[in-house]
Amino acid sequence: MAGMILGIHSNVAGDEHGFTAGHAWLTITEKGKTTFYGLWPDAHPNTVDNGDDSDIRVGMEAGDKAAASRYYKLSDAQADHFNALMTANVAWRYTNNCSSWASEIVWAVVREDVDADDYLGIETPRELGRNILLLEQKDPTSIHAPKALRKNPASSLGSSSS
Amino acid sequence: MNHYEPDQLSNISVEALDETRSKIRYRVMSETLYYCPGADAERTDGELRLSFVRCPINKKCSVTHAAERDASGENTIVVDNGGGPIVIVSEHGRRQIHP
Repeated sequence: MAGMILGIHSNVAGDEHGFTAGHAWLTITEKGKTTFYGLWPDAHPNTVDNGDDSDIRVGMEAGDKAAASRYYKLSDAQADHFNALMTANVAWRYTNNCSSWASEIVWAVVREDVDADDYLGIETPRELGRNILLLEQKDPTSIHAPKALRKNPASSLGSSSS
Repeated sequence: MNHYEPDQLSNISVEALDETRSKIRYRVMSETLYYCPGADAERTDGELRLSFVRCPINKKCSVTHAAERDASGENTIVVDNGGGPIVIVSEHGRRQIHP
């Protein structure tokens, strides 16, 4: 799995967008191929209602343009950890939404806090996007120059965050 | 009724089907809590004005032109523009897409 790059994205950034606007998602790019992961509610007309199965959907954001993106180069252990996290059965809720889930996965895998907390502690894509842009301003990344973070080498899958 | 701004739509193409009708393909930005069921059309001042509806996922919003969405997320509507100009309008923007 050498060379896996994790991306975190939002298509809105900042307060000029509505509290409920937009969407956040993750990507994995390996050997030139990008796979898209997002958390979507069963109630969304564009998703298949799969009942109690996981709300992590693959491929739905392939046509989207991100307003904010940040990239990380994963070690083999981090890549294994990410893949394991994608097999979890995760339910979308207003308090466990696309932006909170994306932020939590990045924290679990590479231990960088990409904050998504908006008013009343509700996570939103616009706040995630705003903080991605702030991080990028201080420490830019790109798909061609991803950041390597080894704070959480994930030598054990039991080291994921809560 | 909430509508998508022109810059929230992408990959827009217009194909004339005959002298009066056109097929419009487009994508809307992904939103966890909204979807686009299609557009409302109004012919005014010789142009066809389209407003693409932004509908909350827990509601059904009526539109004059319902979209068909394919597996890749591309939407299609067919409109009667009489061969004339087609313009996307919203609360804050306007964008002519044909000709």
